[in-house]
Amino acid sequence: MIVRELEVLNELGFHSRVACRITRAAGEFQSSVHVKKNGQSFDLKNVTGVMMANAKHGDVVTVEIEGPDEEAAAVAMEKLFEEKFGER
Amino acid sequence: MKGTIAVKGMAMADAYPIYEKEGNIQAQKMEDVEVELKKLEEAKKGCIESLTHLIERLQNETDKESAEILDFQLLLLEDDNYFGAIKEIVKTEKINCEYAIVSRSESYRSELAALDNPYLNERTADITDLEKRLLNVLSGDMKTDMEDGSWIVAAEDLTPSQIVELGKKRLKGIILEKGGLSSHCVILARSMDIPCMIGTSGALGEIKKGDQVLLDCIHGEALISPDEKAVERYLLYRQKMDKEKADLERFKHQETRTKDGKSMKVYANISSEMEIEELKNQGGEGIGLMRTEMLYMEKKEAPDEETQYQIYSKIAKELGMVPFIIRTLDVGGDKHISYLNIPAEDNPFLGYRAIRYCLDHPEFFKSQLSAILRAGIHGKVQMMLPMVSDLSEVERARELIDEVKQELDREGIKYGDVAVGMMVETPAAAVMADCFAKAVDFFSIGTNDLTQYLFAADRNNEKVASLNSYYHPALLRMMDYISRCAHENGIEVDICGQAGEVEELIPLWIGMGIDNLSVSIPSIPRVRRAISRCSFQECQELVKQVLHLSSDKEVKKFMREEKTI
Repeated sequence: MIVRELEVLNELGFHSRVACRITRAAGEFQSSVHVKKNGQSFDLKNVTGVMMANAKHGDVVTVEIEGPDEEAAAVAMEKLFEEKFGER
Repeated sequence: MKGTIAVKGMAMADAYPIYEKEGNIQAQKMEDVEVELKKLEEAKKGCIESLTHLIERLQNETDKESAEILDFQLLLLEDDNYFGAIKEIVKTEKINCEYAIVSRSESYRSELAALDNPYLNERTADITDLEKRLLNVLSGDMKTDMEDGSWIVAAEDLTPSQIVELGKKRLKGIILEKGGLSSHCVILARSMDIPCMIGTSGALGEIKKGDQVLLDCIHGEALISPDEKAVERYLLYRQKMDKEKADLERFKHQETRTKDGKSMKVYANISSEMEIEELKNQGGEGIGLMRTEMLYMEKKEAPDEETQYQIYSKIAKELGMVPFIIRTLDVGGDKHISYLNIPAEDNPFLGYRAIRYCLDHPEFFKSQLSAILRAGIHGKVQMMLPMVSDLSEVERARELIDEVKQELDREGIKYGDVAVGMMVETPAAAVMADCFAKAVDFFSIGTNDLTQYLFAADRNNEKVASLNSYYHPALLRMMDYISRCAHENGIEVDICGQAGEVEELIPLWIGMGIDNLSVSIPSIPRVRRAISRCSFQECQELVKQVLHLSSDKEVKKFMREEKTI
């Protein structure tokens, strides 16, 4: 399992458009992708999971990735967060 | 709120939002859970289809933002916590899937609303939208139970039967979140002359029942609780229209003649038997084009011969002995019929459509031909073939018609003497009009398609649509040639495209000797009035001069100066 601490850099945080992008990105991989926040775990392969994680600008979230292609998935997630999900 | 103008006009009335399936869904115990799950999967499939379609359209219109909002709904359909949870509810509680949808949507909305994040709170609207979408697919139809009064209806989309059911009396205006310019709903609204705005995203969210709404389909906006200035603008418009209406009233029920006595006919274009009453109200002298696509598009399978026969004969009987021209199925292009399984094409307007498809499916085509022939005993029924580009297509269609007649003879079923004409809407047919005129009983010029094929310019592509000018001498020369070929061979020629009702051009159609103009129902009196103001002799002179001009600008200028003389 790969664990990454990633910061939410875009202005609006996890709103629906971002949620769609994260879900689509996570869906590309076989590995499971979860976010841990306040002791709760959210499945990023479900758009509702991303929404419920309710991460805001400046939040640092723990992303857990586990599966055969976890390394590639981790790189993709890092990149997505870094690029502010293609937003401001 | 802004939208796309589908039917011009203005209306002011109280708003009546129609949400499909208003909360009357009860939980029912189901014996066979598998059936429910299957229904659910079907509904999901239907939603994915409509969402994908919508997203494609929005992306074409470069409305990326809306497209992404809809993408969210697509993801919800793949979501374990939403769609997956609905399935679980059906399985564990053994209840109807409709109830499971309502119940999970409700609980998910409250989960979202509980989050301290306004961006997510707003997304409850998407859940509602998807919920309705699912229920809609499941119910297959929408029910309306509208109170009396005058209303401006706001809805996601309306079915043609809903519009007819609501009726012109109650329906003052239509605001649709979805809708397409050539959707049935819009075609019907146009023929009933009800102002209609489509693509008004968010309308159902903003408009509440009883809000006063000014629907301005001149500028393409809807105003909730309009201010004084807007109301004044509306009243001025009304005044102008009322005056015009009174003037046109005189032209509803009289023969169509030019000033110097040349007789012509003004026919109507229709798509449904529901329009006959309005056709009579406006004084149509027959039907110059009945589009039969609607019969095919409304159903989940092709209408059988008997169903078609019933509809055609009902119209024929109601019309009596005036012409009733039925166009054989013009599927394809922008008219998609899913059960025919015509694969998506890169160039549908240049693709497998209309007569091309029908001739390849003779049994399918013959059921329509047979229905038309049989209806022929009830009136002056005629048929016309769409999208003809080669003589062999007419010959093959005639062979099939003969086969049908022989079959009917064998079975001892009566049929009428039905004239067979063709649409002239491909440049190939236009150029070869002299040959075609010997092979068919009449021509009807489909100016919409002829224009876009002539200029090789997609009329739905904003960047090139302006090339499609009805004023262009290229088109006018072509039409003049078609008309001469028709008359040299002793057949009539009509216009059934939009160009036929452009008032400024009507003198040219008269001058070319076009026999009949088939127009949208509300335009009938206006077109008749325009004809009555012209002299055939003068118009002939006019045509001679116009055909020598070299651009649509020149023609426009010439026609405008001509008008002031």
